Amino acid sequence: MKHILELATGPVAYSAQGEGPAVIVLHRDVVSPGDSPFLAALAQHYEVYAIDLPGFGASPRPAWLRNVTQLATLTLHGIKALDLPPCPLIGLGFGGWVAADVATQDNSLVSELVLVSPWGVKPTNGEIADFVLYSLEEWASLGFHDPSNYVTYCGDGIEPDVLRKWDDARETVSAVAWKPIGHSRQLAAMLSLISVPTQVVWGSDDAIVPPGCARDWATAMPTATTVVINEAGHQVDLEAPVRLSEIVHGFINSTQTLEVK
Amino acid sequence: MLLSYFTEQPMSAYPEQAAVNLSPDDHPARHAGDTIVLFSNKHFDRAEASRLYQERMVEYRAVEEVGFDAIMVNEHHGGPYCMNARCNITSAALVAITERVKILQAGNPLPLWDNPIQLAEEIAMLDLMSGGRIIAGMIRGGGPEQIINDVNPVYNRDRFEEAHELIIKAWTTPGPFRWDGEHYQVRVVNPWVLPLSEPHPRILVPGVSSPETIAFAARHAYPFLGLNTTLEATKKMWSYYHEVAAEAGYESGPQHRGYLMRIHVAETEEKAIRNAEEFMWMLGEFTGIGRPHWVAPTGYSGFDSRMARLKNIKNFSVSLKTQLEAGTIIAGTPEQVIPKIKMWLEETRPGILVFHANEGKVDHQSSMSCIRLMGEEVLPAVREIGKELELVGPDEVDAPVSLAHARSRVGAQQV
Repeated sequence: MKHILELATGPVAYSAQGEGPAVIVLHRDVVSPGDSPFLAALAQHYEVYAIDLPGFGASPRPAWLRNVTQLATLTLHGIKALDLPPCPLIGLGFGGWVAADVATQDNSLVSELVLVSPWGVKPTNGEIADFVLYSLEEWASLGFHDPSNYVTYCGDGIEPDVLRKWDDARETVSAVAWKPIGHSRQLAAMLSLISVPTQVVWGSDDAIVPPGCARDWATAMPTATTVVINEAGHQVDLEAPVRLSEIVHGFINSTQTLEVK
Repeated sequence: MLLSYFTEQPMSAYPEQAAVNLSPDDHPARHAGDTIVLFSNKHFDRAEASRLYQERMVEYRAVEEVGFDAIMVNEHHGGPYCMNARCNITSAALVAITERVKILQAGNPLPLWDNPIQLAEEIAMLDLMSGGRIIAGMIRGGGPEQIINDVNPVYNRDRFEEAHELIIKAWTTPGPFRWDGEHYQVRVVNPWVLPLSEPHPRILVPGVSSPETIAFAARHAYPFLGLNTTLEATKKMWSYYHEVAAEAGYESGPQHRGYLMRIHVAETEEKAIRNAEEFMWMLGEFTGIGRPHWVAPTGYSGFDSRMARLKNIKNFSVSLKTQLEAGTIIAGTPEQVIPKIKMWLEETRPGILVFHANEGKVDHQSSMSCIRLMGEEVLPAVREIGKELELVGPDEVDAPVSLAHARSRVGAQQV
């Protein structure tokens, strides 16, 4: 079930599941047609708020939206409207870029930042794959380490309504991240403004953002810790949902234990 | 009638087998058979390309000599189906090598220009240098054009409309003024070259099936040029144009209707059919073979509209035999093609007819022969038919160049 946050700029939708302390999750550019196993695993420990970024899912894209920083500003106001105490913010892929940008704008609502295969920083080696050159189905498939997982999560044939949702999402990504492709020339410098504990997670076989880009994030955020999950592609949340949930849970526990000490 | 000649200026010397196959060093998103966007330009043969460019110039001279009214030039990027990477460069060459024919640009892809004032200047220069022979076609550009030129398809239509508005204002409103638009901001608009034609060169809008584009042309009373559309689609197109024109307050006529016809003429039917096979190179997809998401990228238009457009493109993949029967390709001796052209003229009543004549690997000699036969035998017959059917081109009725122009004319009766 989706809930709506009414911002002055338009509605922002979110869903909530599980019980426990709150965490917020920002999705990838391609949303799985089915339920998210990662959110389900996380909901074993937390009340999980999954926000539909403006221009994705049930959140309409304001016509004036032009870049990821504006998208992050709207997301930040959505987070404020949730009226939660400071809580962990988890961003997956494209949502990782948004989450990092949110944290550069305001650290006060975020207790920990977890970035999973984030877009947004230009890799020193290799390049972020160009979504424009791939069909919607090819792009979703490219995100898996094991191609058979595409069929597991997306089925044999994509239903037209799912294809339309993927297309809508791609239109928003195009609207805000067309050039430079999937990154910002300024984000790496801005990351130094983030003062909350940060965990960077990467799939070892990410064909969309090269795993080596984890080093670029580590360079930009020297206090961040990095974990690589083997046998996972860009869509870590689909291929290793339990492992990812454990890493997130362990990271949050470790930082909050440190705070108590 | 305005009778024009056209060729895509294909880079026909590329190795076709290389396009059919996948190479280990191909981009991972390329599929076997793709000839655009990701088909490597390592297959571009520079010497052959130079020869082809020069042959086209010889042919264009002949086109003028045999009596065509216009030469149409276009622009595409990123594939061997068209070597016109810049419409205005070919136009400039035509300005230099011809004296009489109109230069029908079909056209400049407006969204590709980050500063439309530079485009306004280039077209103005061409119009001045040619003595007012430019027909300034304006287009959105196809999907590959957006990808290759790194122009965001999400804003394509908005950029097209805003660039159009800015160019018209730059040509018709004395500067200096400032332009603070959504997609374009120009500090000082004050171009010191303005077109010879007043208020500006005639504008034409080419397209396939997009109702938005047809409506744009009709709202401004710009002629619309249907690109090889089927008979049924062409009739629907004109019906819609007429409807929008009526809403805008004028009655559309042949001067607003253009049609690009794939037609090849030779001394014998056998030779004509053989050369017409070249309309089917690249599987008959005259804009090359590429992925559907390149041809119509997300955001270029609405989801449903893009799906419909792709369906229309797939229609080009039907066999030559079927297309000859349907009349979407015409081939034969002059005597054979004239009745077929007449049928199209009777059914769709265009005032502008463009012969897309030599495609693919049709050689220079055959192209010259086709041009000569068209000039000697086909054009005179078509002009007669046009007179009988009262199919007038825009200049024949001194049509205003736009609806705004019509309204500014004192006592103007006809748009």
